[in-house]
Amino acid sequence: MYQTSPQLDKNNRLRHLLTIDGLTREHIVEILDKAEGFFIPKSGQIIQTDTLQGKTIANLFFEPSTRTRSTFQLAAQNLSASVLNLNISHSSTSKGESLRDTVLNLQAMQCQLFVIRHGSSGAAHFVAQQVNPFVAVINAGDGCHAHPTQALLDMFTIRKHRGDFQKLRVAIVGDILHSRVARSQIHALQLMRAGEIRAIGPKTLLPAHLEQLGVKVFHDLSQGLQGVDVIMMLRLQTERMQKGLLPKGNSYYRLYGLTSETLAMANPNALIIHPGPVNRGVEIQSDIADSPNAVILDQVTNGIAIRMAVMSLLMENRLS
Amino acid sequence: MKIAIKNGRVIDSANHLDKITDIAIDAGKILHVGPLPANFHPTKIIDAKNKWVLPGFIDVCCRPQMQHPHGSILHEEALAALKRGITSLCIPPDGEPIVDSSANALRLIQQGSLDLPHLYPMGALTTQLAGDAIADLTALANNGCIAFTNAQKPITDLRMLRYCYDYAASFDLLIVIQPQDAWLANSGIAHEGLMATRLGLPGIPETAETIAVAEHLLLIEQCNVRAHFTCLSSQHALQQIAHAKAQGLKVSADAAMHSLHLTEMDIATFDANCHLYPPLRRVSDRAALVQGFASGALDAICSDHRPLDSIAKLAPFGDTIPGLSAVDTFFSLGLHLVKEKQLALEHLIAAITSRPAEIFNIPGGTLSLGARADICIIDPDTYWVVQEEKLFSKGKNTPFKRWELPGIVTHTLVNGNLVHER
Repeated sequence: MYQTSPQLDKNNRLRHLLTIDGLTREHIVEILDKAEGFFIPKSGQIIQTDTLQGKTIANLFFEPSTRTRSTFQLAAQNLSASVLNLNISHSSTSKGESLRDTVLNLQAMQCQLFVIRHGSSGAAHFVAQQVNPFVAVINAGDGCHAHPTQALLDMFTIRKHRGDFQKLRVAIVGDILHSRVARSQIHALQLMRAGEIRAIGPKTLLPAHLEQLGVKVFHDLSQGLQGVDVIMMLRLQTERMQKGLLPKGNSYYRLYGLTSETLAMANPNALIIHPGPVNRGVEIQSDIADSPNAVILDQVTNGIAIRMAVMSLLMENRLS
Repeated sequence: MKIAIKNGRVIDSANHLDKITDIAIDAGKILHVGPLPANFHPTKIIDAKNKWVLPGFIDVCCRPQMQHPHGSILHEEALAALKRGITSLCIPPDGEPIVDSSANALRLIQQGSLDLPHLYPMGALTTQLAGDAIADLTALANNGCIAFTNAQKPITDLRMLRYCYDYAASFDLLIVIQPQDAWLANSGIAHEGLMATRLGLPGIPETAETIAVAEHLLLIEQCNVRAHFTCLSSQHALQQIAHAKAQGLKVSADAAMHSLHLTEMDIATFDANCHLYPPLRRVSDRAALVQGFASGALDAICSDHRPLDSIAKLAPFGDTIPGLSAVDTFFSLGLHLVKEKQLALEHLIAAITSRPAEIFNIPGGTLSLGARADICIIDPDTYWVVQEEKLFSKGKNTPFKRWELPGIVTHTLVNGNLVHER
């Protein structure tokens, strides 16, 4: 049966940010433009505002995180919101009811915005169903499903450094099966009308029917990187992997590691992005991660602005 | 008690009967089908004008126990089934306690009563369903078990499985198989396809079902055992069954009613009520399952009823307990397919009455003279909207909320007793 999107209101404005899947290009551009507005031109400094003064944001992390949680916290502080950080280790017994109870309690504590990371796909959707109409939810990563703010900050970074998406060939390399980042990136790149989207990895690390998402699939890194303008490297998500997906030893780096040799197949000055944390010598040659075309640290800074943009947008939409 | 049912459209697939006429019931049996004999003086007359008079439905896979510690008792779920026209329940052995001993089989049967559907336990194929020792199958059979199955705990040791089938074949016992390869299904949650890819849910490939079907069919052939496959979910599995039937193997098969309606597309918003086992598969699989009755690959439709309490589905999709509450929507969903001309009425009726009776050797599913008077009367043209408060089952875990469905059961008779009247 037809169901409306759980993250849009009746005027098609963002009510929660749960996934890129189902958004429009206008939604994305609105967020990217808003994020751009938080930078002081030329200096690259992020401004501070009192947009969310008096609001409380709960960072609800059921999985360990450093970068994402810190940048959400900084973003909230830049908007003058109070931040409540909760790191809840996801034990096998902390199932649905406790997640729901946690959320309802935080709601009772007058938190207006939840940032949630959880090991189960669909967790942010579940939380969005439980909260009252005055609370907004941002998905900061759920299982292997989605990590929309990461994809948005990647789009922001690509737009900043390379401009027009239609001219770009983009390759996503590595463990796409377990990657919520890759799924959100693919949807975002589609919406931004990227010239070509490629996925590179062994079949054991690629989800079924990936090509039906509009992606060209390659199993050979050199072939897949030929003529690309942007390389999105992924980390091997060993914490989510089952045994037997890859041979033991260093075959992964040998076949899918981004090295000077394989990088030479891409277009000159190909942009290299990585959601972090970078595992040097596992998926990427160490000095490449530090090269000028690798904008991995710029992504981190952009992440603050993107999260400020999403937070302020959701709170605006909630009030109007 | 003598009961007359008058002017109803009487449909009995076992006798290829479909006409407007009367039925006389006496001493719990069908006394007569046709204009009432002059010397028949009923104590109750039911006017079935504009209604359908059908054999009571036989649900070949129903778990009337609530699957959560503070759930309802079997009695309430069986009653819910009755109010939806189901007069016989075949119950897999994986409830609490596991039906792997005569005592446990009797314990289940003794929960039945005259005003409930007939309860038919299936016995565990192996002790505690652990897959390492054959249960005392003949003792279970002598104490009311109609078939034997390891339910949703597939036996991974094929040598053990072969022993089970050889043993069952020695006594002409029926095996029930829910095919799923434990390794391929592993920790999967949704059909391995585009939707699971989009949602980032661990997949259960189609081969988890088809490889299991192939394995079982080879052993069924070798052991020459009677077997029934339950809750099939894929087109390829149906082709395998059709091929086996053509070869002359003693096999039959069913699909769950919900799988004739829902597909992987229905999990798009992480509706935990669509977290089911086996998983909802492709649009093409659903279409093939519906066509399976005309082609003869499928024999029966089960409800796969598994009522859960409200907590069971209150979690992110993959952390919820799979299963749906299904008796309430069982017949209405079938009738919906008939009204949409996807399924022939005679195929629907046969799949929930006469075919299950034949496969499981249950004395019912027909309106033949002298047959047990298990009957339901349907108002086929009244629609109802599926809402929690309209469900008789204590399990509100239905994926069909807000669906508008045809068919209201106005009367149910078990053993000639009027046990439900609306």
